[in-house]
Amino acid sequence: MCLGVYGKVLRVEGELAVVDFGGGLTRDALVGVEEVREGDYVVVHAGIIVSRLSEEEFEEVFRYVEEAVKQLAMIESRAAEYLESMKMRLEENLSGQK
Amino acid sequence: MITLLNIRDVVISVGQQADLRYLTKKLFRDKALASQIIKIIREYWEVLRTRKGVEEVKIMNFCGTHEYTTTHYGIRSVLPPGVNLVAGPGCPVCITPSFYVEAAVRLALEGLTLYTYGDAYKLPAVKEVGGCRSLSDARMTGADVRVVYSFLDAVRDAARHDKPSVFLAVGFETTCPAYASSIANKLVPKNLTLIMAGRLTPPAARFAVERVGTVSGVIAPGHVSTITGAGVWRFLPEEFGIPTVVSGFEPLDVLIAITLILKQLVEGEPKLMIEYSRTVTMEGNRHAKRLLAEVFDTVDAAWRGIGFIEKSGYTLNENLSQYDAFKVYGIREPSREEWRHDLLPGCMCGQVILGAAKPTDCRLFMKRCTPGTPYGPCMVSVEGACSIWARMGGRESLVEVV
Amino acid sequence: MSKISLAHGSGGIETSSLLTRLILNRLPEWMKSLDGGLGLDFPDDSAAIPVREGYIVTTIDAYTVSPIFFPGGDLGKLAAAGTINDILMLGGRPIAVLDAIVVEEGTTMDDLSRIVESMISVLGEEKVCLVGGDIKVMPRGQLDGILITTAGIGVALRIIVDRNVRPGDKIIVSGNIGEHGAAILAAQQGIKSDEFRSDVSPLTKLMLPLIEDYAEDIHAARDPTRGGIAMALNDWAKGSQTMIVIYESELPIREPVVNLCEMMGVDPLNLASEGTALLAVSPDKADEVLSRMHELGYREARIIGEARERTSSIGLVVLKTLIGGARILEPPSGELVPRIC
Repeated sequence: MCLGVYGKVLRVEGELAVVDFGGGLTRDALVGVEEVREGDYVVVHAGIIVSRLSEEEFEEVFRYVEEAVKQLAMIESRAAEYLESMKMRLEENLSGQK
Repeated sequence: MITLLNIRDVVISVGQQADLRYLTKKLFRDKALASQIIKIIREYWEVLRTRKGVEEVKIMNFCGTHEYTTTHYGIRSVLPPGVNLVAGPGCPVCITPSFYVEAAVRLALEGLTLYTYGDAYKLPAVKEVGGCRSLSDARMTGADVRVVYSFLDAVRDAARHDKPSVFLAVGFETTCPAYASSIANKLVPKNLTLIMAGRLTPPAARFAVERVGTVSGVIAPGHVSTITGAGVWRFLPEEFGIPTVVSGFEPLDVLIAITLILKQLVEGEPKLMIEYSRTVTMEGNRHAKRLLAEVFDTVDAAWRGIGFIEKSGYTLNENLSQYDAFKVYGIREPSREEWRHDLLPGCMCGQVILGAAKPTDCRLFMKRCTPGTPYGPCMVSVEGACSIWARMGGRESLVEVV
Repeated sequence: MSKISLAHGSGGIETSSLLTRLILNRLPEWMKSLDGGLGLDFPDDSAAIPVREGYIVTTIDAYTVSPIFFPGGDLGKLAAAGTINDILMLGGRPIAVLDAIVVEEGTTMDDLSRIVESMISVLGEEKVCLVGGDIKVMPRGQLDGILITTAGIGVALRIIVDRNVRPGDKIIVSGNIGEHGAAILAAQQGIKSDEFRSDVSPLTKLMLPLIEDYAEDIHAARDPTRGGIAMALNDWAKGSQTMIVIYESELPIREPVVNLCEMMGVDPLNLASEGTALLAVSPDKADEVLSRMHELGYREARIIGEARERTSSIGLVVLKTLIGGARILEPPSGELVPRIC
């Protein structure tokens, strides 16, 4: 229901922050969160920062997938293979990180 | 057992700081990863079908942006036939009562400058006002209607020209903090007032699952939850026994959410999970919640095509009436008793919004009602279920063909 | 009473249905084209009038843009390049242009001079003559700035008509898509960034060599302006009764454009290009044509999809998505406005 775009905070000026949305696309946005600092990654919706992004949590979601696969593997399946492929793919993706 | 590698370690080992914007697109739109998750989904479906005798899994995505992701990436086309995604009441434009649009059109025709977002600009009212059904009609007849990307843009623009102006303020918990913050920080110029049509989503979600009844799982809105906290969805598993996953908006987010719902169905233990943990917490955004509480009161409010839902609307609180367009221009909001069904004859948006009908069930769909000439509210917003189905086809299994 | 809205001019479904109702339905068949030529019997970029050897290719377009000066170009350049490209896309070599300029009272002489200067300089570089024209002034407020109409004339030995896409044809795009639309959107939204520049430019250096060597292998050509490649591909699929499959992963879209589109909630496939060609090429020559395009300096050119036999049950343009799903790519509809949800 609400389009959110990820950006990186360039600087904070009172209740406003200048946010870089990638590729030189910058706009200012209202600061809608408790605290925001230069360098933070944030979610912006219609001109307001609604939350911050946490780097640590990026892998959490794949842990959920891993748990799902473990559960499937217990029942019987080729799920373990999928996990192996995913692992390889994640590695490929991350080592090519810009 | 194999374990997935630690993303952080890898990123660090490559010697770079992760650009999370880039990382998101790279990981969560990756075809190879997606295809593995799709296999996991298919396996789960087989387990449910063969071992549990499940005939259909009906997953409701409340949020219109999830519906957008679903159709934009063709997610329905890769799911097994028994796993169905239905759209819920999560489009703030679709559910904005006709009354607000009529009031906005009237004020525009009286010579005020009217601001709103691109989606609300096209929203048609049930009744014509001065020959106009929408703000876009009003602009055609010469009214000063300005489409903006954000409330902040309108605040700045209105401050420049100083003419009496009104913002048609639609939105859910994600959008409303922008109004609250601008008002609380005294950024709003004297000449700008708001038609406050903001709505809260959990009451509507409750309403939908109570009425529809047969939902097997819910993909809960990610960006709303950044504000409210995921905790507001706890009632879904606890009271209704529905597995609920707060999810992000990339295609892999939605696929993983589906996986986690199926996993819960296999386990038989419905609970609340946060797939979108990279930005959603259980508590939500305290700062924004404080602003919302400071500026707005929560009241019983009308939803288009649905009716009144308890404690589901934001209004400006008493001591901020100078920002309230209705108070300033003497417009009275219809009470629950006065409220009328605000869909045009034949329009099924009420059921579509609740996930009880598919857009294609409506006989007006793509005949009388098209994205260019919308008849019902769900055809207006890019995020409305009907508009999305019209533009992207939520219907067919295209993968075999391609 | 129904009225004309901006959606009628957005180049999507509303524009085509307006043209059908307003003009095509009023014309008897004989009035739509000359014997052996191409006209409104199959609306393409240009019309063709048969002459003793080949065709005279002709086109007319009205240009309006806000703002009139934008990063990468201006209204004058747009009017010149747009008309040249329309001639090229039918397989013609542009030789002359006529223009009609309508100006709002109060426009500065300087602005008008710069626009006209820009138009003339593009025509000059392309060795296209400006053989006639007209200028009118409208009272203030009755027109937003300047409107330029240009008619183009070209010559062709054979013409490329967009109803001839055949199953198996490869769909090639000559460069990044949506650049012009993104630049205009950014300018209208007050976004100042060097990343957004219109691609407006004549495609002569690309198309003349291709027409010369591959006129028989190029079954359709279009510069995807208003309505973007979504509109162009739908026109082709409909006109030639084929199904066109596009691979999302192959689409050349620059990251800043993707980001802008995601921010504004618009689809880059609906954004205009003004210096990009979309071609349908027979499969046995596709790689050859592609490397030729690269040699000619269009390094981003690539194959983005192919035409297939039409199957009854599904839509005409199908997009194979990044994650391996599929969806129907509909022609754009309605006015392009930023959205929040």
